[in-house]
Amino acid sequence: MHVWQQIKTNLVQHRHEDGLQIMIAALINAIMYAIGTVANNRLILSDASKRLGSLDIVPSLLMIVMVLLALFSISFLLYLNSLLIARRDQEIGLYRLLGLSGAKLGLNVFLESLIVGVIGFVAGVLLGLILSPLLGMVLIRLMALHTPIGFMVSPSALLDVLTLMGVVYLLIGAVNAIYVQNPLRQFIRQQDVPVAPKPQTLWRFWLGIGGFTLLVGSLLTMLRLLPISGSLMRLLPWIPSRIVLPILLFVVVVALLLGLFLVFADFLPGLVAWFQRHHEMQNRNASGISRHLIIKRLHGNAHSLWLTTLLCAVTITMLGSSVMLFQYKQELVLREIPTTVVASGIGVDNVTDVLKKARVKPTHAITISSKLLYAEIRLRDQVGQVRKQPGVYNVVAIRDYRRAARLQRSLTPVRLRQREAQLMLPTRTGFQPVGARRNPNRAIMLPGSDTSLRLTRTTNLFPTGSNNYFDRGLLVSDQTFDMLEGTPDRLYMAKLPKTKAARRALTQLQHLDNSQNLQEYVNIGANERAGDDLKVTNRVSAKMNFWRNPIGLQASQQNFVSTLYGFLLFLILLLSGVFVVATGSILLLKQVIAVRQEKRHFQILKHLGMDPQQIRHTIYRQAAVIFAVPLVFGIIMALCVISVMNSYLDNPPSRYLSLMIAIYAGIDWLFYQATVHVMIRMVDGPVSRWVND
Amino acid sequence: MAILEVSNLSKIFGQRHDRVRALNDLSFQVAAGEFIGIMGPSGAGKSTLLNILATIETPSTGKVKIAGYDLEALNESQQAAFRRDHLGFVFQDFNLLDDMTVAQNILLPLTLQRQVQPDRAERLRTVSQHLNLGPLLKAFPGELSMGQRQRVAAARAVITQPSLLLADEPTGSLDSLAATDFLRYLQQLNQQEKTTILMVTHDPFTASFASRIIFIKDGAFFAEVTRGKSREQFFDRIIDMEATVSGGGHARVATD
Repeated sequence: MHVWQQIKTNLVQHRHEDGLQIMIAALINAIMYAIGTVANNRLILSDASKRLGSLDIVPSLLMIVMVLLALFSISFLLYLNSLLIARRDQEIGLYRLLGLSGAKLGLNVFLESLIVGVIGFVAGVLLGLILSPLLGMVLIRLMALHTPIGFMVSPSALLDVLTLMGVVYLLIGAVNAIYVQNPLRQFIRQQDVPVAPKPQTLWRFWLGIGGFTLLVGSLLTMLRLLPISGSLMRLLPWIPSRIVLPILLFVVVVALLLGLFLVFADFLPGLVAWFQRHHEMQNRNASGISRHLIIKRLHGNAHSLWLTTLLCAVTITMLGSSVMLFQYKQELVLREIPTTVVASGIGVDNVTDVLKKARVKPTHAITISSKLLYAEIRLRDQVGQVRKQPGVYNVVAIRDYRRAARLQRSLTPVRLRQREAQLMLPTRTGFQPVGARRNPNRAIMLPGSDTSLRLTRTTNLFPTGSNNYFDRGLLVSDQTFDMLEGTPDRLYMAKLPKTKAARRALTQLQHLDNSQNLQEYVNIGANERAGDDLKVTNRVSAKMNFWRNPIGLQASQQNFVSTLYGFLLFLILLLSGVFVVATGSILLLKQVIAVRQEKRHFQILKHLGMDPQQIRHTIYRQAAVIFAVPLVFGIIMALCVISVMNSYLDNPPSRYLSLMIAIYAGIDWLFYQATVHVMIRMVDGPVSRWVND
Repeated sequence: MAILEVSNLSKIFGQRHDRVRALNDLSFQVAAGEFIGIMGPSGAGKSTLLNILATIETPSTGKVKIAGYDLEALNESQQAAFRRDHLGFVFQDFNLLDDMTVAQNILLPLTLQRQVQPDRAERLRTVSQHLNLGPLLKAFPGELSMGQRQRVAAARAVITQPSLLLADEPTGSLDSLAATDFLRYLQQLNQQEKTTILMVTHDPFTASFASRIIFIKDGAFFAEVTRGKSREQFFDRIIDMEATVSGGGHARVATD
């Protein structure tokens, strides 16, 4: 009875801290429960695996995310707890001093933690019941599925969450119980020990400058990662070129982390202090005080700023790159298969046969002739190396290109003179641009015709879509095309009407496509390299070979991409949501703790006649700096990391990147508002009275 | 000229059934340049009086005028400006900001003003000379002795050349040597700089540095003792009066 009384008192006394902890735990619980139910929902799983063709990827990825989230939430909740329990030192010390034994106090805090955990669990499950259908709907929408869902109750998900929370809160309770057993003198230290701030010495100044240089250097390196690794390969020829890039990446990441930390610990406070000294004449008024308080805040929160900046950078990187990848893949499908159905080689006959039998007349259909030939080029790649690149080319004449452009709007007008060619590459970004400084007047050698053509441009847009091509394409003038010798090939694309018959025909084609023996190969042996005609077969017979899928169906490819990348995007959105909340609550909590320590300062300033309005302004600015700094640094870092991805993908669309950043900033702003609200309420009390009577 | 006029001041705390009358029709005046001590037993209303003078508490009835300003008429931000421009504060526990140097602490009231004072450095030099803080200006409060800290607080209080310096048990945290030392400085400020000081204390020795002492009891004026020639005699009379106050005797006005 006595113990419960005590716990009740504690719970009432610490309701704000406990409330925060319960809120966060409930949120994590809800998300975990929602993921668990989705992972156990048979309807969604079977629909998704039909699309993807593999049964395990969805549940196993969901499992991985759940484990990641669980690890993150365990460490986050422990971190949160360590902040919160340290705030109770004085109270613990008092209890111990008054004779409550460590064991008994330990039992109290242990039970308290368990109660908090139970409340968090119940609240989380209730929230999860609401959240899980919403989450399911988002998932279905992103994956472009048509699965009906309703309320989802899953005992196994419930059990998962219960296990996790049980482990976490037993752990937290145990940690707290051990914490209060510390020697008494650790709690009875003077609370407001006056400590002189670290002076701005020259050494710290240079450390800060060094940190800033590291940070900027590593970000710039990241922007030009491939060229720099190329120069490194040339400078250090004894290092195997395969490990240069990983080593460089590792060094850059370490430099980034170290530089960022030094920037927060030394550079930023030093910069503000220097600014203050420089403008001392203007600073001899109240804004000087608020600047002083901001510097102090930057100093005191270097660690959490570092951590939150990293979290912010990771979150925005994940969000931005997954959203870009999602869109990129969807646009890629349109580049591969620009119309309802495309076909090449043997596939052309198959498709026309099926369409004729089903009595489907395409609204538009184009067949263009092409010549298949083997060729070699030398191009400087992004790393800076010039290598001989063998390849199989589908040569297309410019008159066919223009015909195709009527149906395929993305093809831009091209002009070519004789002996000129435009190179069509599926991965254009792998090379330095043709015709630029690093790749002037590159030529393509055609052994079969004993000629070479000058390359004018590279593009990633193929007439009739890249799905029809074995490897690369070459666009040449009409005369050149007629002159060249090569194996004749057909490229076909068609737009089908949206009728039932067409749909049946597509299903038939899908079955045809799924039967594996439709693939076409070109084998390159010594003869072909010397200039012999190429042969299209259905077998692999040489070490160097190229293949294509003679039938391409837009809808099924789109479904596959949406389902897979939509699912990945969904997972990233989930993780990001948790990270955003974690970042915001770390900052909020740290600010509340800091204000609690600074409360006396504000009271003194108020007593001495600092304008209340000015005090409020100071608090606004303090919080604004603390929230803005990780956001700005995080966004810059994320953009640099995303640019690495850009150098691998060919012009990924970035429309939604700014949207994602805006949403992130919006959530951050909400946390900022909440923090300021709490801080103002804490400081805005009446001026402390004299109470000596 | 009266710098402080307190007339018929009353302060009532609490609601209907548990009302406490902290101040009861208190009236007195302080002339410019005086060093006034306020004494009285615990619960006499000393702190309430100080809070009202500092614009932190509002009186229930009655009027307070400081340097011609009617405190009742001020709003929150005017109160802040009034504290900044017309009042100086010395607290029992110094209330210095630990992360600022002594010089920054002393200059704080000037820094809080909107305009930059062109004679900041001059004023800092003067007050630090008066309070003998010259060599300590670059130190942090944590590195000083208690007596030195209280001198910093005094320097901070007088740097704005306030109309009235309010001191609340200024020697409460000091040992007797440091206390005597500090009170001498306070006296010096009063005599040389003509700073008007109102000091609340319960210690007769501390009070004996004032030029006039007002005793209050149960929130009302009880007696007044004015200093004569020697401080020792004054001290004895304060002790006598204290005994009278706590002994429940009748008020008498003792003057030389």
